[in-house]
Amino acid sequence: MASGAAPTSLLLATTAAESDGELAVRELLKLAGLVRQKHPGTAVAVAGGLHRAPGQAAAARALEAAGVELLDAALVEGSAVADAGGVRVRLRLQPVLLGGALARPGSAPLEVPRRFDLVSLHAPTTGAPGAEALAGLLRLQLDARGFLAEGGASPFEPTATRVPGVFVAGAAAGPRSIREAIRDGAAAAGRVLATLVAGERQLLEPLAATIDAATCGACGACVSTCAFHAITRDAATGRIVLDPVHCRGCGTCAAACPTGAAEARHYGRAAVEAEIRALLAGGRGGAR
Amino acid sequence: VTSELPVVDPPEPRLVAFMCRWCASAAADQAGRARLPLPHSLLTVELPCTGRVEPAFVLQAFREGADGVLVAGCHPGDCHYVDGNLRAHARHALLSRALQQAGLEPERLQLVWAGASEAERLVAAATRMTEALRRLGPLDLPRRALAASAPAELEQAPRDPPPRAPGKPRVAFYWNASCGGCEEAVVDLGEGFADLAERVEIVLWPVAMDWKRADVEAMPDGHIDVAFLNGALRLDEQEDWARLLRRKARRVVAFGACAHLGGVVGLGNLSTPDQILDAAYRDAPTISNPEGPVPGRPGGHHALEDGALTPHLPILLPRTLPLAGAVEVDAVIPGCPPSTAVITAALEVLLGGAALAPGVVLAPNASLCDTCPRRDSKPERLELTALRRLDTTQPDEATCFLAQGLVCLGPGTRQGCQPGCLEVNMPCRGCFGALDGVADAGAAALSAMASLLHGDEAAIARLAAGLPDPAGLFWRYGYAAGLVPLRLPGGRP
Repeated sequence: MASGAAPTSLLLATTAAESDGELAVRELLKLAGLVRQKHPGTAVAVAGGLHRAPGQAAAARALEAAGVELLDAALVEGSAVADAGGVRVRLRLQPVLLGGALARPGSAPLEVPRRFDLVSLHAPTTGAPGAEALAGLLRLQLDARGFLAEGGASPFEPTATRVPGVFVAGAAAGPRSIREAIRDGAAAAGRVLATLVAGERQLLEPLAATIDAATCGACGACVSTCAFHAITRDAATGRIVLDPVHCRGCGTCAAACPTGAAEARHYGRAAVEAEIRALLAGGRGGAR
Repeated sequence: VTSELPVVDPPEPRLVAFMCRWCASAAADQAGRARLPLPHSLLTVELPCTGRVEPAFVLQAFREGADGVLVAGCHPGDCHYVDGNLRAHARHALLSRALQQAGLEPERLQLVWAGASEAERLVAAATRMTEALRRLGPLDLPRRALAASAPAELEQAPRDPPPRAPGKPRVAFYWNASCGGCEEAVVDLGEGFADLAERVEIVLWPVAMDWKRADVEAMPDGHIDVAFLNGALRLDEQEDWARLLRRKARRVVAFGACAHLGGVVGLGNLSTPDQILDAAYRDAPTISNPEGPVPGRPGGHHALEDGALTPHLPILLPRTLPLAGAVEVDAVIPGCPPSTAVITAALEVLLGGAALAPGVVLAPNASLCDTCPRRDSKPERLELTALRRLDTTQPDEATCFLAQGLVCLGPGTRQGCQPGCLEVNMPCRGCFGALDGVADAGAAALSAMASLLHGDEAAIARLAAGLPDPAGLFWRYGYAAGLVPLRLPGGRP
């Protein structure tokens, strides 16, 4: 408060568009508890996302018993107006908690006006400033909020990215509570350790591409197509080298190569050309 | 396989589909299990990723009889290999526009995204395309390209020429559809030319000395040891001369880019002969031709008079041919024009009389990039997010053109030109052609360049759209020798 006095009423809220889930709820409840402790005279209300964090239900009930008002609502974005008497806001009731009464298609969301001395909004988390550079380096993707995107081939590959051997855990991947971040980290560590068993043999991609040194002009077209950094330019010699351990066999480099030096295994140029020829050799018959 | 099946009338279009095995191919399987009606016209080539689709595969499919080509891959962001589908997208953006320049209806070449669970989407795309192909009718490129617009038979080297008459090697220089630059290149040998004139007997060289056709016809077959022919074959008269010299020469050498690949003259194949003649003699704003006579058109000029053909202007062939399109070629000296170094080395080989592999290109089988003085300035990864144009930019003189966002065909072009364009701060334009074994130099150059375009789907489309003339850019010298070397039906020139 400008006067330095403790507010008589305080709203701790998220907006309806907030998507930090349990992390936001945890932070709001923690703050509510601290305020309750230090300024028992302040009326505290919490709005936003409670239904999204069932794990926090016990903590929420304890605060409610201690006099904190829990609102099944979220702040309407842009609705806060400060005047001499405090802050006027509108709160949107969360339909999910109203037994579906408001969830009928076409029904307007129910909004209620309230007034508080002080409104504190939970700021959604965003990706770290360096995430973009890191994503570029590792050929990962960023999601809309600037977090490194998870993207394993299946849900059974938690924390995997689409680049093999690179995992993303904790707040690098999105809003995470400490508990969730540790769980991510443990999953990633487990997956890494599982590949490092002594004596364990790693399966290599049998489709790994090849580069014929004699006709390769080291133009580097293949280098820029390789999402897995399996093709590099040797700094000392300037020649192009392909590391079959990292090659996944997509063949994009072979299609990019203008001299024919890069070649795909199993889907080789001559094989595909022969397949096209065979498909069309029968003439026009109407069916294969 | 097909011959055992009843022929459907009217024939179904033939749609070659290059499918990613992780998505579209899986969707096709799912469509089969779900008994969804995938068109019978679909001829499927499964590949690990749409990133594996070489533009040359697409051209080959059209050349060998496909009525349409479908490339089907994973949605952007879902690629099993991160972004191979975006490379396919970039190549498609340039290739489809180049083919449209040649007259291909856009419906005949489509790129679609279909996830593994999107059987309906794949079926809808294939069905829509098949219906469009039925409306358009057959493309029929094999008949049009290989039969209707090119000579039925190649003129072969004389099989049993009489024993060689003694004397210095007899050499002929002849020009067909060319600019004269190749003749210039011979004169530019300088002292080397004086040596050559000492070493050989020149029996034909119209640009410098006066021989008549009758003089050549009077020579016995195989009389000439080496005939150097520059220029493409654009006129019937040029084809006649090429055949005549083929009979008279033990070795025929395609000299320069036009004889080798059709050259710039070959870009005329983006239009039909009628379109070319109308543009030159009727539609040009500076032409007044109310009665509309047009020279060089087939027919109408062959009126018999006393049993002989009246003199007439040469007639345009249905399309420009490289020399090898009409006669057996023993060796090639590439370039526009060939460099002194390449000519000098080739003369040693040709006059030395050693055996040659048929059609051998007498220049190193290695790319220009490999000997480019700027090669060390190239970054580890060339990922272009902006392109520049030569006419609005001053390229740095020491930096790789590609790294500056300028199109350079050095990566796929055979070396041997230097000193050439690079030394005067011009990117390579591809006149030496591709290396041995590359099916279509233009398609390979297009694919390499497209592969450097980076960004999301929309950004790549914008970058590709920034190259206004992909056919002229990538096939500047090689269109007539490419896999699709002619004007296609439909569209506009």
